[in-house]
Amino acid sequence: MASLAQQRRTLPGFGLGLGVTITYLSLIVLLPLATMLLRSLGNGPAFWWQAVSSARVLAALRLSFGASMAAAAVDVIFGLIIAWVLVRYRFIGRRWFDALIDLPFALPTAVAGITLSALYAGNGWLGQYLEPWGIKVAFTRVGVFVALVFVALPFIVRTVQPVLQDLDKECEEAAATLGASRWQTFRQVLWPSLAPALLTGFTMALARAVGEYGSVIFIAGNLPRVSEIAPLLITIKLEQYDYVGAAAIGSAMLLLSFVLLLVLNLLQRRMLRVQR
Amino acid sequence: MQVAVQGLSKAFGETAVLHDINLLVPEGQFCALLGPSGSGKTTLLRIIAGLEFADLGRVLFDSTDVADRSARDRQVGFVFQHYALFRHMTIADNVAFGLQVRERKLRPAAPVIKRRVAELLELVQLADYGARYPDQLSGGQRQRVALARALAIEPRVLLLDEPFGALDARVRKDMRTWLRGLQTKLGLTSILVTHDQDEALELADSVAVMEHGHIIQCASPQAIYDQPATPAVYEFLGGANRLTCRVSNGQLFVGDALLGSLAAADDAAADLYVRAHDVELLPTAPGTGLQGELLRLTWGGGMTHAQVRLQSGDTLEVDVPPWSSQGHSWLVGQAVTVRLRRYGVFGSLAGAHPAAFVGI
Amino acid sequence: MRALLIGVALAFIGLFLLLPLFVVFTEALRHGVLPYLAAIREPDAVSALLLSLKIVAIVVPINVTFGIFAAWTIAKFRFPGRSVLVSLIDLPFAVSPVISGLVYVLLLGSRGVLGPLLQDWDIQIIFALPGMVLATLFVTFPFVARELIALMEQQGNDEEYAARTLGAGGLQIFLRVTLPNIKWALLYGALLSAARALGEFGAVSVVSGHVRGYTNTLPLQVEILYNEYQFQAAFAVASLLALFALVTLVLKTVLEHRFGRELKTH
Repeated sequence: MASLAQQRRTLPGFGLGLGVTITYLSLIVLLPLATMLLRSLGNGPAFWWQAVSSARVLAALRLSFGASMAAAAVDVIFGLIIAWVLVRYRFIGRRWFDALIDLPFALPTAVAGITLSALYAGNGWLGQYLEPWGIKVAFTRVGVFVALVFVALPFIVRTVQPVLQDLDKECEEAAATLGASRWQTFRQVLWPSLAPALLTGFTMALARAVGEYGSVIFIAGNLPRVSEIAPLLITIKLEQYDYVGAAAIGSAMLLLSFVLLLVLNLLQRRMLRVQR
Repeated sequence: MQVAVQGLSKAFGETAVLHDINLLVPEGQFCALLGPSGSGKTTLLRIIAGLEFADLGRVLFDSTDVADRSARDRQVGFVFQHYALFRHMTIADNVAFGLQVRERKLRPAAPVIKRRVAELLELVQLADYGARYPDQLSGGQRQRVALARALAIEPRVLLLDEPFGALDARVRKDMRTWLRGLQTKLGLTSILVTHDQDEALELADSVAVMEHGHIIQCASPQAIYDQPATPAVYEFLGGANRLTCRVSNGQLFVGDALLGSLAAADDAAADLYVRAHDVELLPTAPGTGLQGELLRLTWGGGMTHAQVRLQSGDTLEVDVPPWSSQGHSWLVGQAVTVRLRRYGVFGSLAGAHPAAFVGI
Repeated sequence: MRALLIGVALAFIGLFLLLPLFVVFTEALRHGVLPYLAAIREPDAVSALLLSLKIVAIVVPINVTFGIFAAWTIAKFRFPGRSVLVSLIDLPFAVSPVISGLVYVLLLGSRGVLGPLLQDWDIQIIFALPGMVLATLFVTFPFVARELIALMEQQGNDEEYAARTLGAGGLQIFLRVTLPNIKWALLYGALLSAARALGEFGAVSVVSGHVRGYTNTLPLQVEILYNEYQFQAAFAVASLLALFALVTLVLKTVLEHRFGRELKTH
């Protein structure tokens, strides 16, 4: 068999394109990531395990992943409602609200961070009303959660929206003429198409939230073992010149994310198969 | 220019799509590749164009092997199924494209290109449409632009991939006639891919019927229609009934009824193919044909369609021309006799070779 | 039902998106226009702005170039390992920005794998502009490639094939046929990567070393001011970034409309 590069192609530029892409990707993404993975094991697997399993690191990882899942889950609910409203209803200012959904994409995370803490601090815009009720947001885990809800929202809305748009309205109408209630129509006609998109959105939201740094650190208060997220711990290790420790946490985060994404992908594949 | 394909094979990964294809299209001839989707006909056309490459075999333009040449250098006019017009260019720019991308020393001067584009648009009857964009044209018009664009490079062969597939029935019919006229006028060797047997039979000088990556028959439209080489060709050309029959001591039986004698001597089950319009329906007349019962009658414009259950248990579709009943009116449930005027018998064992053709 | 759903959706958008936006500008103008202007004219803020723009100016053209190569390779050809390549291009989206910075410190920092070598040659990458550019490249690589791949796959190859049979060369096909069909998507991808490059915080923070007036980008400047309790100044600088974000959103809406038309094939 002819080798990949020699194989005849209808259009020119395959060899060049593939070469350039792989080289660039290797230099900018793969080589640096590989360095980190190797470096994290630089003092042996036992050291890696020790670095990762310290109470402070475990707490940080638990918080990063736990708060991310909670935030992504909340966004699934509200994101679905928002997408539904934006696609199905016409009201004044709809286009503006639609454009605004991408704000968390566009607004630099540091800006989001200081703004959220100004909102939820004890004397802040919202914080002053919440505090008397005993609800503390800023400088607690709740703050981490709130920041991640902000960050992850567009991922859900933007994956569900096109699916909703493509859904054939006639299917719903057919269901209605066949005597289905609105709930039955939703459950049996809409949900099977929406669920995979929601799961995709959830996955993307989760991946983003787990790594989020800028918008969280200002509002979290960063108390070790309480409201300290894993990415922050990496920067702390770096400032202490504990490179291997930083690399260990980084590799643990990657590993956990990878396993999580894999599970979610398998789940989605099953979902799509069941549908067929 | 003559196009020849010799011993061509192609696989996509594990799936073989073309097996040992041989095809010859003489200078100025119009050849149709006819087959169901997935038969490999489009792949064959794209290999001839240089848009795909074969694993084995040769493609000859006259006597030059072009297998090593890219689509760019083959000088073929290719008309795509969905036209593939450049949507951001005007119609005139679309047609001029092939001339404008030539190397400077081969490129005609701007006024020459302009004149040539005007001529071509005239040829495809779109003289006033040069300044429009593809999405402002109807399907049939776009198809003609695609043709003008392909002709602009003065191709040595014209290749058309389901060119009328996306058009509605009436436009398709008009385009067919127009295209054949144009092809004859230009004397351009042409190869057309289609799954529409009427289109192939009406347009082409020769038809190559394809199935599962093989060319199962290549002949003139008349020969293809009158003497299908295999059951598949019979079935693909439409309107064919299949009856189980038996050959015994040189005699051909359907059920217990003797149909005639047959040169093939071997005792074996066989399939008999007969088209609905090659069957004659008669009031019952013992001894002259197959006996049966009239199951159903439907009126279909020019022809009446009858369904007959034979004594052998097979059902047979029959086209009854309006003039054939000779004042007789058919009743569902009555006993009838059918006479097969023209049919083919294929041994179910030894491959797909016809054992006999019987014509009256 | 309809009113309830609209109510819930708008309340959520108002609380989580609109209110923060409002807060940025209100806090920035809390003490009036003059302190606001003073804060954004402050030399450190100006040099941070210039550095941020410089990074954008370097990063976006690189992303556009490599995005085009990647998209051409992936959308126009079928080859083994293609889907792996697609996932690898998306990989930076799944990596924390902090890790994106970290990997470069580990590779190129003074204690990094190549650190001693770079020191011998007296090349400073980490805690300097090159490092910040690299970290930003890591984070922003997928934007252009992704938009282009999605669009080009949808458009198919027929026009390119047609150009090929008409005798066009590779560059001619790209410039005359492909590029006009993808130009809005390309701009869109460039816009997204510019916005992200301008606002990137985590990755840049790790490799910058926070050298005031030298390696501070706008987001880093916001952090410094905030940590020094100069809230009004922090929000003033932040308001610049928020303004850019709003411009991005407007342009994005316009571009989406434009290349929505590119998507409508045939």
